[in-house]
Amino acid sequence: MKNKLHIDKPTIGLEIHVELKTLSKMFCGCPSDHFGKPPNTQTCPTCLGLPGALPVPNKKAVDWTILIGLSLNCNINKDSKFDRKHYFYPDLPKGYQISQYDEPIATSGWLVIGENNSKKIRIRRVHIEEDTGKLQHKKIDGKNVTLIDFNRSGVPLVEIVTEPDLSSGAETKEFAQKLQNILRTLGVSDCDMEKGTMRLEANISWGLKLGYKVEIKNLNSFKFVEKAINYELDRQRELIEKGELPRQETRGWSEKEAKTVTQRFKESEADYRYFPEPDIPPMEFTSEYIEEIKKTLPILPEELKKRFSEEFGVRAAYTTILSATGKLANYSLEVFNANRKTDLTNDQLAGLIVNKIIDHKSLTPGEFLKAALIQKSKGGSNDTEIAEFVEKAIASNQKAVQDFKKGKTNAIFAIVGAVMALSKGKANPQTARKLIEEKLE
Amino acid sequence: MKKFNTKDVIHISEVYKIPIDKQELRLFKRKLTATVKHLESFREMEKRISMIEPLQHPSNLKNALREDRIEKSLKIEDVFSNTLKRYKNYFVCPGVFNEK
Repeated sequence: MKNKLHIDKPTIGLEIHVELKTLSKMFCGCPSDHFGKPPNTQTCPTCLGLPGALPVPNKKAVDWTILIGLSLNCNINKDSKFDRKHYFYPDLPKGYQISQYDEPIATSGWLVIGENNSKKIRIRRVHIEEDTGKLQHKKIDGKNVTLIDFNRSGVPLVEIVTEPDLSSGAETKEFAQKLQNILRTLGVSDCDMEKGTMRLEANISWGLKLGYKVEIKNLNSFKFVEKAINYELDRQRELIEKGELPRQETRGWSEKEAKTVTQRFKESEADYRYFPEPDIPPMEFTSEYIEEIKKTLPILPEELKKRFSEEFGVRAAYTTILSATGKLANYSLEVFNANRKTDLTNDQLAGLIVNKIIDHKSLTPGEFLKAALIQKSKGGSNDTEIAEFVEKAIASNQKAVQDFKKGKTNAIFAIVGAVMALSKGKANPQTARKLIEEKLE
Repeated sequence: MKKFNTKDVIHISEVYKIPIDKQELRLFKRKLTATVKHLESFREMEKRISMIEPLQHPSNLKNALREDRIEKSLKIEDVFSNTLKRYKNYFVCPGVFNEK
């Protein structure tokens, strides 16, 4: 029996949680910005789950969930409702989370990734729910205790679920970064993975036919996403090749040990005992209402990239960075639109922004153009050339790049040397080193 | 009809975080099977009420939403007024990592 297990292809699906940056929480008027606030100072009977308190949904959070659904090419369900999802953990004061089960706000969307956007990743659903409290584990008076802060309890949380269409750590990272760019452009969330306003869970297996999946939690940076998924795929493949079926479980990524480790016992769907939330009447959205929200959709990163490239002649490597956030994209558009009378190309200007050769943050687009012209008159355009040499040197010195990333700091000299060779000795080595370090961070 | 085995009962006790001993395990295996048997009798009723549309919500309200406005939170002393265990301004519970 043992050697009959057949490895198919890596199969990865994602569940992404995003905290919305509304002013107030999902079902009460407590402030939703909980970062750095003294514990339990932003709570009320509703978000503490006290008996008799009634939740009332935040209209902006609902509208923003529709907006997210539209930006991900989803169908918006005209009828939607909230449900109770039951589980017992100290971060959940009511013993259930108000979530959405069979009538989520949005379903059946997609997002494209890959070279020339060749791969379509299907979005299964987008729904809104409430976040949980935050736990801290401590030893007090010799006893292990858990401390609970409910400031985060009830903060609006959007869950985006993909179909298992991803097939590698790199693809998953690309998808998550694209999604982050879209949500930041919409202005609905900071999507800061370190702060936990964007959290990723990946369901990984070697093909659906094997009938198991392993859930990976604690993926709080894009670097970890790629590493954890690749590690987990290798771990599972080794087991399958030995004839063992990987156990269906939840594992966490331990950066310290650079591996995934078994986490907790997990409930199955039936254990959650979903049922319609009796305290909240259902929602109904008319076509006109959805259309009004659609009108507020900003230009999304993909379209911006196309515009930067086709209309303004900016190279692909820069367009991805410039279109990453709405703020930077709008700033760049203003700079390019204002650049009518200078002899600087938009690609050169983009290089000055992307490579941080001019700190644009405190400058208006007009001031930035003046600074760019001064930079050029000083011969400073050389810095843009250095940035180009740096990119070429990195591309052609991959062994040194890998060594540097593994902690061999001296490996950077090989790349600096390559820059010096490409510039025929004219580049400033300090500038080159700074740019290389920034690129490899 | 579903008959509960030992594994089912252990799973349920884990879901509800209620530790049970061997004696209770046998007791609940019997009781859960009896409960499900009783619930099976509802199937007869289901035939009689199947033509009734499921009720989404007892009120006819729809879209009872509120504007995104900040309101006053509780005073910290009120937050902890029913709490026995408090450490600084945190609620305290037994360490969750102590669980099996």
